[in-house]
Amino acid sequence: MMADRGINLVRDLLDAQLLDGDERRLGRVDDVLLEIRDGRPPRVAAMEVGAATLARRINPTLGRWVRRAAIRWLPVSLRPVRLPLTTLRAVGVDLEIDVDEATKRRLLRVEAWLRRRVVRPLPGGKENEA
Amino acid sequence: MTARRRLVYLADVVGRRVRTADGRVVGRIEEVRTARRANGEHEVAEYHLGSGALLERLAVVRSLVTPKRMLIARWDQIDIRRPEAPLLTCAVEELRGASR
Repeated sequence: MMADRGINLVRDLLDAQLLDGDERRLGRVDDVLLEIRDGRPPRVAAMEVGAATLARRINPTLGRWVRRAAIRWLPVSLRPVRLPLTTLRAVGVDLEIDVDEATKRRLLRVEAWLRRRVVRPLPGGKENEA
Repeated sequence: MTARRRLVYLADVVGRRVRTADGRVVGRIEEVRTARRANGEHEVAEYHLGSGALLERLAVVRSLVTPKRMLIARWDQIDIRRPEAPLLTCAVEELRGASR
């Protein structure tokens, strides 16, 4: 049976801000994956979050370059995080999602690295940490 | 035989010109509307094409602008297996919003 609450993928999901239950920002939806199935409607497989995904959207070559550069030079992984739509709790201007702590850490690994390696060594950096 | 899982990015589909089998351009895919199944999964229900769909995507209030043309295709009326070249699988007149 088909329930009525559908989503406009471009207007409601693409580039929307992701928030957890405490309204903490977890990034934006950089792309949406559709699974093509023979004889059945395409299924929304996941929302994808990550710099490499965003770069790919701008230009596929740029996406490949960002992925390779991240593997070679960056100490932190830029591998995209895939979130199933079943994690969605509320759809509005922002999207509220329900994910575990491990997924939150994966979504915020670049921010965590920046906090550890860039902000904390700055004078007063430790005091500014929330 | 097991079905092969094929994934397509939404960004590769949106903005693409949909063509008929004989190469005629019908319009660009501007929006993809899903329907939620009872198990919580979302499936593509329809594709919205044309300038009216672009206004819908940009959430422009319709009463402020002249009504624009929007075509609505069911999921089975557009083949997106090649996202760079979506193909209309039916006659243009069968699309919702098309003038007959």
